Amino acid sequence: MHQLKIRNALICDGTGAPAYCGEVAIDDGRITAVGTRLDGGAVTVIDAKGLALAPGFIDSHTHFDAQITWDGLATPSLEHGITTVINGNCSLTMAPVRAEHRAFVGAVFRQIEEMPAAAFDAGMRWNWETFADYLTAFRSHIGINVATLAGHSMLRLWVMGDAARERCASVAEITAMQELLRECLDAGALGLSTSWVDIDHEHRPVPCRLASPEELSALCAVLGEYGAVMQVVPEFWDPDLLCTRIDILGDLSRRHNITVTFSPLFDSNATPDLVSRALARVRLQVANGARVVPQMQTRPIDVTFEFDVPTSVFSSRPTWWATILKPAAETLRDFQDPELRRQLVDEAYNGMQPIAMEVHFPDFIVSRCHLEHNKPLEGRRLRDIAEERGCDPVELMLDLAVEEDLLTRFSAISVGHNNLERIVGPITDPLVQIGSGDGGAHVTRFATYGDTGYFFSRFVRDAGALTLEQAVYKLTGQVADNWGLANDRGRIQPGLAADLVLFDPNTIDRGPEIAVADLPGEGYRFLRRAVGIEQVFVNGIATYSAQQGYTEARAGQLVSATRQKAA
Amino acid sequence: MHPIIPPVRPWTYPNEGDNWQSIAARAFPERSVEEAVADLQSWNLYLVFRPAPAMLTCSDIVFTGPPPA
Repeated sequence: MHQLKIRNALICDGTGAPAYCGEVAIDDGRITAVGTRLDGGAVTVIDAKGLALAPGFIDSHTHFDAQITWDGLATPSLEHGITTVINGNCSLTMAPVRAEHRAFVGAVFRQIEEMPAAAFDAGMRWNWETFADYLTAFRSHIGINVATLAGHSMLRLWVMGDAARERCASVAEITAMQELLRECLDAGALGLSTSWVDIDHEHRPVPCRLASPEELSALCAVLGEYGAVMQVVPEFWDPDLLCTRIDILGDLSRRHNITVTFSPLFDSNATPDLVSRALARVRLQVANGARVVPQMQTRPIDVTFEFDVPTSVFSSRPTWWATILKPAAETLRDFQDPELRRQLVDEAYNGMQPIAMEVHFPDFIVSRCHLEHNKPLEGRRLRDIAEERGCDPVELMLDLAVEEDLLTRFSAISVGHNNLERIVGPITDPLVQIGSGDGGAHVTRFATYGDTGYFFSRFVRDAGALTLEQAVYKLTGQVADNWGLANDRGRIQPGLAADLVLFDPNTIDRGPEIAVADLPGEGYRFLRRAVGIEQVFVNGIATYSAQQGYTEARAGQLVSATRQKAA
Repeated sequence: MHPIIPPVRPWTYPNEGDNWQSIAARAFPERSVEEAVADLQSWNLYLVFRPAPAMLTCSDIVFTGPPPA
């Protein structure tokens, strides 16, 4: 007698093999039998007729490092079928961090990951310093599996103090960082993350960017000892820089026998040949023995903003940027100054595009109005409203912002990574892994959730670019293989953890972007609800269902390199 | 770097404390520093226009040759 049996399911086992109608038995959190028809009954039987059953999806690029300490479900990832999240990307983690660096690390995290300060401060109970103590702080109340990378910037800060922001490390300091990385891996870190791109809240390079090539190589040597992975953010917008970084990664991979993964592989109209050139370079490195894995996100970039907070949409237009950086009262005054308005309008049409985005102001959507009489404008393009009124769309945007004390919310839709024709080939390429979703980050700018549902709706159903089974493989088995998780997760196979998702292959999708005030403290975030996900099991326990929402179960586990190695 | 994979462009890492002049002197010892700096900067606009207070770091890539034609 099994504890749970799921029958009549269309089983996509995470290998990419053809799906079949069958049954899966689960006992004590593990898959114990799989087949077209299993003998023996079960305490609980679920009839999954009409539904697909897949391994739980693995999201390899998330930033729930802070949120996971107050929200053990990493909402809303789990309801999108994700049963394992990999935190700690881009060199940023919440540990190891000495008490004296909490303010700095918090400020950097809030800046790069666009987490509201009020939510961060209200939610974080920062009572740990070491990596082990950080994991202990949340391990008992997680309903989703959590893997965490050790952040290179944090290793530097711990060993070098404030000098980590100023200079290269000495030989002794590099040795100390190696030892600290070993401690993190022994405590449960999945690998190391670093960045060649990110800047802190004071617009200075994050500490890991001060590392010499020798330092990075020394840390990769430690990863090699553990068979652990390194994640890195390269200059993803420039083909020559990106290809050179891929060569560096290939070299590190071969030298230390490690898998290196970079994120994002990002398509942009500004550099339409970038993805194909980068992929050719990856192919060359792989053919020469390296393990270099590009991560590509499924969704196009949408950015929602109000004028009270600077947003990257305006970063390449100096007059806009300088105006928005000012206190709200001054921004309001500037928006009404005739000369400045003339400059702003001119720059809106003729200014440089931000990195990797293509922004057209008249196409901005008025997504939320503060004043009742403006509500009918919600959901409409500036261009269309301006045409009706016989005015300029940018002037209209400024007028609305002024009238509503900067509280009008606008959306720039599909401003990057939105060319399906160019993306569909690479995203289905066997070398490319689905990732870079950034779950838990940028929460006040756009929803970083629902990429899994969007992958099925856009690339399987609409574009017919890959089969259901192939899509499941790219969200499960392939990720598990790349990250060294395959001993325990990523496939429907006896002996593996029973992380499972039941979904309707004909309807699975992401819902519309909505603003929800569910963060600690004041403030809202953007998220998307799931469509077509029926039930999610984490280590054999029903944790979410479309009918009942989240259960009280907290069966999530920490996923670590050491554990995978031992298994 | 891998012996049989030529780089997409010639490049170098900055040393700690480097500036354009010291990189130019190291990369092009036979050329006048002034000319070499001008070339280096034209090949590395992303570094030239990097907004302050960000600085040249030891992990940056500095191209020492032009983009492919």
